[in-house]
Amino acid sequence: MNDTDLKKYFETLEITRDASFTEMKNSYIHLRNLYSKSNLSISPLIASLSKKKQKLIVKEIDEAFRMLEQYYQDKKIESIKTKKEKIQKSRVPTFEVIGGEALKMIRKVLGIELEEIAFLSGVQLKHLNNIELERYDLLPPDIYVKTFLRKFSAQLSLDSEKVVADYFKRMKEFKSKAD
Amino acid sequence: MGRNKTSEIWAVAGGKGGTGKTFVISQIASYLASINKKVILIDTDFGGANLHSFFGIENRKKTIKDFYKHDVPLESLVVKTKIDNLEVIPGDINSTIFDVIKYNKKLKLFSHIKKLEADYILLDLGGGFNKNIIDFFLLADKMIVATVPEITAIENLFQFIKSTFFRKLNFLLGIYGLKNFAKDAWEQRTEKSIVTILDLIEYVKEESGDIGEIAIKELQNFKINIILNKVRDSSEIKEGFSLKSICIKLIGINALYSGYIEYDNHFWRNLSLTQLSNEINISLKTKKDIKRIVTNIINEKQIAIEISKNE
Repeated sequence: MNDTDLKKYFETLEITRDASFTEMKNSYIHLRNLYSKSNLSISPLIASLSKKKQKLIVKEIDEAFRMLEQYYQDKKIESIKTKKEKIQKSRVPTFEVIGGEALKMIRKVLGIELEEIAFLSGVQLKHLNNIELERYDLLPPDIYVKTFLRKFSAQLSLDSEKVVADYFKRMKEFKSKAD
Repeated sequence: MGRNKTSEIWAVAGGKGGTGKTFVISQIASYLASINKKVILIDTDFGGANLHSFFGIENRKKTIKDFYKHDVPLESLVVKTKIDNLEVIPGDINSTIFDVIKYNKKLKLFSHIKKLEADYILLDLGGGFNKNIIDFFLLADKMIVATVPEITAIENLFQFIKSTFFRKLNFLLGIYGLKNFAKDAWEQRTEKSIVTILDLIEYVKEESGDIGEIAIKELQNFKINIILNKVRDSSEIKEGFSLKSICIKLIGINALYSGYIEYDNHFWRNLSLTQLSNEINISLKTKKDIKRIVTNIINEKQIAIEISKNE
């Protein structure tokens, strides 16, 4: 997608380049309704357009949304990739034992949102959240947790076996204290 | 004497009465004054001046009429208000609407306005769409329109914007020697399958070659900032986005939705002339609304659209 086309799509959806994905989508919904259904105040003015012209506008709006949806998707992946590349260079704190809080701290230092981890690793947000919060009672069976931890640590470029070992060590200690 | 480069002229138009345009512009002026900007608010409404009500200016010895009729220098008409940094040039409530401003006097006013020293010069244009108003509007650095989310008001405003744009288009084409090109094409629009102004621009581009292209490019600078006043719910908020859209898609201009002002029950119910000359009781919400609007206008930004869950 070249820059001219991109500019055209943003203009069609009547948003600026720094608009968020949600704003883009909302604008699309609003415009599509405006030019295809009838809207109380404006409809006499839109009625001055021929059906053909209205259809054309709707078609352009649909296309712009389709293309920008893809664009935002690509941009998201790109920005996450860039963040990952920064991982090597940034000052990540070291921990003797890595637990939920440590994972959270490292994640924050790297500037990665939990949603992004969920998006890229395929692990559900609620599991990641419970892992960070060390809500052992809410976690699924161990075998799943191990997989989740491996995927989580991969996103943070940590030694996944160490993370799994540390996390389970802490979990066992906690559970034995509780008994 | 050159123009003071730091002053920016904002014109606010809004069509016929009831839109609260004067309220809006007076609040914008007050806000700018409150962030330490020097503001001069000019009431250009020759026949229906009511700006003075909002600032309790009494003893208006001289008004803008004196500039026209008696050549009184514009600077001497500037009146201080109770608000720091905010000065006003009042209009003239005594004039009839049939007073016509000769073109050369209009030009003179333009050049004097440009020489006034302030951070912001705000022009309160009258209601309606006569040539004077359109020309004042086109003079501004920032063109602002304020209306209410009602069908007649929006339609009126749309026609105003169309007329203004058309005038600018003709003016630009005139500079490049294509004076009646657009006008003639518009008159024959049915034969030429021209429905919207956008179609007209496309036609001009195609038929008039390079010169037309240059003129059209200059039109990119034509930007309207939209304010919606007396808004009561989310569907009324959205009228602003709709109005913006038809300006962009049907007229072919740049438009930004700077923001809206929620209907302030308390204010309108308690409005009385005596009240006005003292502190105006504006709600905190309204102050926030105004701040957001002004910030957007200054930064050439607009508000983001939100869709509520039941849509």
